[in-house]
Amino acid sequence: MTRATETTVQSISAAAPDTAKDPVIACAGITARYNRISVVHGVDLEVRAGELLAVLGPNGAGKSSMLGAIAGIVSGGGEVRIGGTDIGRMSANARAARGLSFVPEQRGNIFPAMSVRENIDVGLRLLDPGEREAQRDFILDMFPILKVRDKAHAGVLSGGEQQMLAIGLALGRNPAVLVLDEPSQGLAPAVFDILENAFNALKARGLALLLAEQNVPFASRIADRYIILSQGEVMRRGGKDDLKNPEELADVFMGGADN
Amino acid sequence: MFEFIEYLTRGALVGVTYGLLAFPVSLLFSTTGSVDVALGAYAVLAAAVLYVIGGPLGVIVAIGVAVFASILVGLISLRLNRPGHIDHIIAVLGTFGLATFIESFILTVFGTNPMIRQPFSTFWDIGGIRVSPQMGINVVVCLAILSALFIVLQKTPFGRAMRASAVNPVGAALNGIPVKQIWFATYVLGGFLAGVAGVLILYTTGADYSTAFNLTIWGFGAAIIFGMHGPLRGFAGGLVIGIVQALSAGYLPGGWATAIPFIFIFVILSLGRMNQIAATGGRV
Repeated sequence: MTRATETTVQSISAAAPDTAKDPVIACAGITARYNRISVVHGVDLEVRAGELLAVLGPNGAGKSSMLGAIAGIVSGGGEVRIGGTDIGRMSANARAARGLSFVPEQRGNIFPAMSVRENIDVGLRLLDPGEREAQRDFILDMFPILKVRDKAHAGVLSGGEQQMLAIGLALGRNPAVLVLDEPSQGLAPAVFDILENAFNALKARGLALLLAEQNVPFASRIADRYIILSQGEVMRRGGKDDLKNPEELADVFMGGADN
Repeated sequence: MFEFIEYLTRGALVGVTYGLLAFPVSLLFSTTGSVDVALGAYAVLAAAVLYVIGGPLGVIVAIGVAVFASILVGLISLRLNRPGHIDHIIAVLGTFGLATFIESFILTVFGTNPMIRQPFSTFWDIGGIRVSPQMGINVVVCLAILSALFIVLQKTPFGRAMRASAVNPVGAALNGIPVKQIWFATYVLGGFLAGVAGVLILYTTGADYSTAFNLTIWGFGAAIIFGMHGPLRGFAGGLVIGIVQALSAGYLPGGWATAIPFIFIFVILSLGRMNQIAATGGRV
């Protein structure tokens, strides 16, 4: 872990969450493209410590592409500032080392041929050796099933267990920002409660969470604010009050930009 | 029967060197999805350098030259590919070009003469089979290196990072693993192992400029026989290739002796082994 990241992590962990503070992550003019086809056109967003921002929108709105561009695995541009430093031109692994953890759609950050323990070890490798056991305990306390499935290959876990492992893996380096793409996709409703508890615990710990979701009712349970993407642009922003009516919110983006 | 056992023994002893070449083939394939066709050329280059310099210094320089050549290939590969945006054909053609260049270089500087050194004038007698002590050294060196690499891969953070990069390069990058550097390290490791193989080959069967391509094919064949899954399988594959070679040389006319190991590899490929590898990204 770099000294800059350590400072960020320490200050976030020590301080009580205060959403009025400067944002932990601030993105400006985010674009994403596949070859020459542009799919996200200059999105601005920011997330503060202890806050969860939901990115809503229909299929093809550009949610995954935008998160991928922020994480550095999809070509794009724009500023991605963490703790004031622009990491928008860095490689994906350098962004991860500077406190940005990304859990892609379909748990694409796990290693199916490796055991649960080995997966978590991979996630912990950027931490100082002295901090690893405490972080491992934090992850396993959050998702106790991973302790039970310690020796199982990640590829044989259920979808819910894989999602927990994917989040645990991303938490291994004690990030400042956790970015998740459709974490509820294809999961049993019982797992929703586990994820909700986990996200609340992470918010209480002071992490900034940025999450793309199509499941608006689930997003409304956990989000503090939201943005709706349509055709690669922000069509609406809002807060807690709107999230109290998830059906109405879903109607907004299912109706497209005309609403 | 005694003759058959002798061929088996000699083949297996020669095959350990192919097992050493098989390791980087399988490791590079599973890590990057590509093949370094220049591996055999590194080995012959190392043999040629040691042939000229000789002694312990020659061994160090020979392996160093092989590593240097692999660094060039690694840099070219990094330039051509990045995680998620890979064109294997370009990378393979790049290594093929370097292999041809090295062969031409060896031909120009060292000529067509075979290069071989025989450091031992006495032989071991194992059940009536005369075996050079160099064969014993080859077995010890290969087993020691492959065991060490196996432990590194399975038990160390670097090994885990290497395996993670092989299984899921994008996921590895998201976990902070510098995948491109891991790829580069894999190429360099391949150069080191090929250099060691070249040194052992010089002291065993010898080599000339044209041996490079054969060594690549035999290393590749050794790697695919039991699946590109790990060094131990590649090592076992190396023994099989060595034995097939020895039996061909012992029982068939000279022309066939060279062709049979290749035919054997084609048979393995035609049985669908390679399709299975391709379908699983090398994780069979």
